[in-house]
Amino acid sequence: MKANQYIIYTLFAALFISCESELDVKPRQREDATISLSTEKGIKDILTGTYAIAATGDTYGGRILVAADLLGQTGATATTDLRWFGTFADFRHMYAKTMLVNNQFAQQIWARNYEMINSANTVIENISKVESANDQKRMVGEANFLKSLAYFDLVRFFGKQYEAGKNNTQLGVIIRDKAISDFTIDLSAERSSVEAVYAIVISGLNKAFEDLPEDNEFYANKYAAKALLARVYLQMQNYPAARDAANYVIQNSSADLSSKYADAFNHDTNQIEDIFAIQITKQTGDNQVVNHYASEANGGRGGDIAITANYLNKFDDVNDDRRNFNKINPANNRRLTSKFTSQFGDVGIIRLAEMYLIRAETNFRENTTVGATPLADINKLRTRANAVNFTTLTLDRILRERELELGMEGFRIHDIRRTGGSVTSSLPWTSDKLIFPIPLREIDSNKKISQNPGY
Amino acid sequence: MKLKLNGFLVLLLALMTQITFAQERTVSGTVSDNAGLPLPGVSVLVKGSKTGTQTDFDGKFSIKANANQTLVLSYIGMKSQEVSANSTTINVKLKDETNVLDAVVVVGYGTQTKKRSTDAISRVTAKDIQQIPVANVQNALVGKLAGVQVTQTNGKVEGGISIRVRGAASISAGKEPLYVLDGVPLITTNESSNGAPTNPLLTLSTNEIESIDVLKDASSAAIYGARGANGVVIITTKRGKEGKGTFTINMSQGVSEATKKRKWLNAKQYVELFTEASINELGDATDAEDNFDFLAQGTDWRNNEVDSDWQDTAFQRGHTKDVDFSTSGGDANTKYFFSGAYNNTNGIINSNSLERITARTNVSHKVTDRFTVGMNLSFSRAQINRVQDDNAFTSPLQTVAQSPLSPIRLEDGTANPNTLYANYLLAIDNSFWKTLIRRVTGKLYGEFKISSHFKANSDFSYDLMSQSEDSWNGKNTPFQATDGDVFASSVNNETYITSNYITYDQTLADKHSINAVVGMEFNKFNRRYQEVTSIYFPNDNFQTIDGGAEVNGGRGNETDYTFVSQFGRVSYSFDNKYLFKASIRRDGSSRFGINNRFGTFPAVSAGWVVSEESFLKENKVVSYLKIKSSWGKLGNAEIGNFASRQFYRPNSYNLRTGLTFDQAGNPNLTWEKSAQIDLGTEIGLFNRVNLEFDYYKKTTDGLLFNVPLALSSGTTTINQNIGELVSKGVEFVINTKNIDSENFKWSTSLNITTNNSIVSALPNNNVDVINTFTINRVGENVSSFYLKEYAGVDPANGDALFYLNTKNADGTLNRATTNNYGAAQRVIAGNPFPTLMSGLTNTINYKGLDFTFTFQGEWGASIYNSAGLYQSVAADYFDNQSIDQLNRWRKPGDITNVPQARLNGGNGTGHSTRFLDNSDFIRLRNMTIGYTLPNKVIKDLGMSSVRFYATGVNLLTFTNYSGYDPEARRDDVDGSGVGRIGEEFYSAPPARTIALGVNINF
Repeated sequence: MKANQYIIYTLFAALFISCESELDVKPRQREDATISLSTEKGIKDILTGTYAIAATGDTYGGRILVAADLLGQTGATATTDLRWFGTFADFRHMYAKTMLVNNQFAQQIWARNYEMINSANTVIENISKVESANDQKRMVGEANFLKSLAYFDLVRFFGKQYEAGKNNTQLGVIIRDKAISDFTIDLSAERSSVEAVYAIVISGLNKAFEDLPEDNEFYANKYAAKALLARVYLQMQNYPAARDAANYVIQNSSADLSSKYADAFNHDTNQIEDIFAIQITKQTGDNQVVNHYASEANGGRGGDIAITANYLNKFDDVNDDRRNFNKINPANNRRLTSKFTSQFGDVGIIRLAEMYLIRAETNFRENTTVGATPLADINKLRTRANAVNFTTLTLDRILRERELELGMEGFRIHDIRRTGGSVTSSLPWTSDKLIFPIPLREIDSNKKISQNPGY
Repeated sequence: MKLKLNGFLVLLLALMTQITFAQERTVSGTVSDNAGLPLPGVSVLVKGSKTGTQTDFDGKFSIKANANQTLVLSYIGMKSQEVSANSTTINVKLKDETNVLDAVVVVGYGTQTKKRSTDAISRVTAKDIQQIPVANVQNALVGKLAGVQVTQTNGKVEGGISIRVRGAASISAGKEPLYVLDGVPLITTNESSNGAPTNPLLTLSTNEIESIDVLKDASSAAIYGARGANGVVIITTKRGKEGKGTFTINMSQGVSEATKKRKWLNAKQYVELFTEASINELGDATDAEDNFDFLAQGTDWRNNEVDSDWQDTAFQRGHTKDVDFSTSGGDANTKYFFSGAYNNTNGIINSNSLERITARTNVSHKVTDRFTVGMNLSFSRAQINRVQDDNAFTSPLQTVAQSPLSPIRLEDGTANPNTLYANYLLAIDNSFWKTLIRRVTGKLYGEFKISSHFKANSDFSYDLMSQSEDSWNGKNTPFQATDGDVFASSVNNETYITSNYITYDQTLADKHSINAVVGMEFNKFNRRYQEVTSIYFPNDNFQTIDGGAEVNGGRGNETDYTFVSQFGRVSYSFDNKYLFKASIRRDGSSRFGINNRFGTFPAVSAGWVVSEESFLKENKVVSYLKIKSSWGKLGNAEIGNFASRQFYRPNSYNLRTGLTFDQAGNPNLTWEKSAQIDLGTEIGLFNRVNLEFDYYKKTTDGLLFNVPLALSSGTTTINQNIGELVSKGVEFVINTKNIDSENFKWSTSLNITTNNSIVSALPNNNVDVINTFTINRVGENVSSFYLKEYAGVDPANGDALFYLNTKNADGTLNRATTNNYGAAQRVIAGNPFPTLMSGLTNTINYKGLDFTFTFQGEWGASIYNSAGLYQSVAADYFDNQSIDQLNRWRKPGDITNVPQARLNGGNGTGHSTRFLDNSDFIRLRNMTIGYTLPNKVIKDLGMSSVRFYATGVNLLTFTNYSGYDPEARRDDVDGSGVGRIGEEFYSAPPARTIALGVNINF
């Protein structure tokens, strides 16, 4: 009996000792943040990861473009340029201007952009782990570019329009100027003014412009920063600055207009006209413009958004390539744009044509001819599209040209708001209905934040 | 001590001597069951000898025994009985094992008689659950256990099951109980890849189960420590008994249909309502008619040429087929049980079916008098043909949203591809989703008697759940741009468990009875997953990965956890009157942070069997009376494998490596601690009525919260152990034998449970935690509905109205109404969990006839139909509308609850109590009628009994809920991976099934 007991005690003891070491189990698909943040490779990967966040369908993978165009539509079949046929109620609400505080697409645009901002801030604050000074400079430049891109879209969608020459004290969005790594503390914060957010965007892009190289593969380069700066200044109605930035890009970057209008769209790698594009592959990124604009045969939902006669009637020349750059989807007779037909194609964010339009508009407004005359810039685009050239210009013609050239590329609502236009007579540029509600999800978890008027 | 032992030996020797000299003669008799029917195959054994026999078809036996010997009569499902052999004719009635105080309940690492138990344990045995035509074991438990709520997510055959023991003990962490099968903690991970959960225990068959014991209180569950807080479900499989082998076969077939279909607009009503909506909102009918043209696809919608009933296509007539057999027996040394079962269920939803085989062998062998070894082993295979989750456009039930103007199929029989939403029939016709669950669970064990009071047990167990999923989408599926795509996944979950424990059992001086267990257990889990997808197929004949021109995606990952545990338990009773028990378990787990790696979980309990006291002992009214109480601590370790760590995950961009922040860390994260007290009493009256009453209070603190973070922080949630939840309630069980005569027996079992789970503390100084339309707020029910309050329709203009519910200066709510949705404030509007549940089972036997039925009811819960935003909004969009929307406001003065129809007008379409409904219900859950053929008839057929039966599930439902079913719940998980609470969203109702069967014993 004693012997038995000894055997059992020994067995027990052996099992206990061998087992406790089994409690150290390592994760295999994820990595402790302390490890990621401790190496040069880790910081570089976090920067690439910031682009990956941008490439999700929620934002620069496409929905940020879709939202801007839907918000700019009248929502009535008789007058709308783009008709919403899709079944997603939250997009329908943007189209019909009946958005609710829990609009999922608005919420995701908010969430993803802040995810990008925190990721970019993390890269900037940990840049000392990167050895080469050149790499450091470039990486901080890219991080600043991505951060500014995110803040700019946040403030455009969630804040009231910036008005030049005024104190823009209206609420913009929250500024997170430091990387957050401790989430156990209260992270509530109020939104900063529109003025303050634009200041962040501009300083970030100026830094990015200084730090970034001329050539940077498919990542953001010097000209991407300058081009975005042109877009930002235009939105602020700072026309001289917008003009000079656009002119700088046109004159210095290696980008050029593609020979045919159609060549500007649907490709897997950056083409001559691309200044900055979100890269999509079958494995990474999610092209949502195709999803919402394309036929099922092209990987879309059959045409959630179709072009109406109203849009075609805006073209003064029936032979304009841009007017005819669409096809009827035989499955449902909807007229679908040909801009987005490549399911795994890249999503263009900035292409050179926009710079010509900015330069033309700002030269026209300022009555200058920096780089070229407005008429020459506009006609350059029209020539490429095989449209009859203009002999004279008006501001309306230039603005209309933007609609024709950049339709469905995410400009419409921002143009209406910056030019003091209106969507319908009851939806002027100042309307509460044309900006997103602060997501209910944020309101519920951030004690300090204020909601937008009208929600 | 030594002296006493010697005394025993002397006594034993004396007895044996007597036996040797006593006169041996033949004893004969009849054994019958409770109902007086003869029992064939009952084992009859002379105690302490190897002499044994069995009863014949008429329940008769004869055996040689001495007058001073004792006969032991035993039979599966019956209480064994010992009778003295001093008379030569013995007629014995064996009693059912159920609902008898002497019943043995299974507790962790041992068993205990209910009489001496101080625990709160609910139990069902084979008889209560077999032959109910449901494809999963859990569903057979509905309404039969006090304090245990069993809900199947919805009517899909493989649907996930949730079991709540005494209300949820957690908010964000796991809420399901721990399942232990013959001592093996089972893998219960849901491995579905298509959004809707599958039930990982689908691989169990009821025919192999002897009993299910649910450990509800801390006293019983604390032996499972960090895994016991949600209760423990102990499943015991059947074992062979000594005696002649038995062979049982059971076959049944049934049909099923949905418990309810809803009413939707027909083509005429659809045209009328949407035309009106278009005119109201947009001034003319253009928008509506333009859409009608598209929807009708060239048919004449003005004359209702097409009037499609889409809902009808989503349901099908279901079929169930069950065949199972088992054989068992054994001798003094070796006992065996073998079983096999086949189930084929065609569900009530288009193309949803299940086919399952299971087999089991349980064998034990006594190697020497001191050493027994055995092995339980089962394998099982379940093949499921599945449909999409509730949130997919191609889920059959979402088809109710299609317009009645749209043809369902084209002339050539193919599904109409031009419908409002993707036509799910394109998916049904051109795709499949097959899930195959294979499972092997086994335990090898040895038991060694060290001495007469000590024994050592050593178990080695293994559980493998291997699941593969194959999905194929052909060229013609909706949203197909790659000439087809195929997805194939494979996942293996496995655990190994070693447990070793020593049991001490002794009664001293006839009064002090002591039982003690001490042991250790090691549990290691591993999950390994792979998936791959390929696209571009030559044609639809190629349906595997190899057929694709491009392999365009793949994933592979692995995760582990381990538990190292030590445990001990002591039970002591004095004179069967005073009962004490204490247990403790120390658990260490890889899941917990390095600073909080080990936890200790103690429990103590005491009981007083008052009826054993002299003043009650001979009482004619009170045959049994016990009062008991317990306190203990339990843990909930279901917090995820690495929930405490701050992580980055791979996130590549344009095929370059990238890292993205993945999880906000919390180094202090640990298990949830749940302290539970239980006060109870058990009363027996006239030997006919048994009452049980328990009060419980379960306080869980250190609640794990997936606390929503401000999205502007760049991440979404963080796991925190803050907050406290208190669940309390009472359980009441009454079992009565209303009539107990020779030929007619009627017994009733009623259970009533109340439960209230109130949040008592929350993170960040009790800040409300809000999820879309539920809230956790201190002082309120867990996950209460939090919605704007719908106030009906303004009779003047048809606007939807909401109560403002803003706070007045004096703190009261402003009950004025507004048509401005934004101005109205949310209020707590209901509880997603029932506060009262009840089950009532009646069993009646009259001669060969048996009749059983179970009613089940739940009260106090509400259900939110989030699809109401599309289904019942007076033609806001072109979704077909529920028929009640015809009661819309039309002209000033109309009094109605449905606002004016406005196409795209957003008239009252936001989340509000308009879509919240009370879900109280009473259901005739199960009814069975059986007839056992008289023995005379079957004797010559070589059978020992034949019973025919008809049985039904969900036969009647009484409810005011206007949606599909008060129990049906949305089955997809939300963005943060959390299951939905209290929400219906195109969720299929459960099946109503009627089956006929026959049960034969040889």
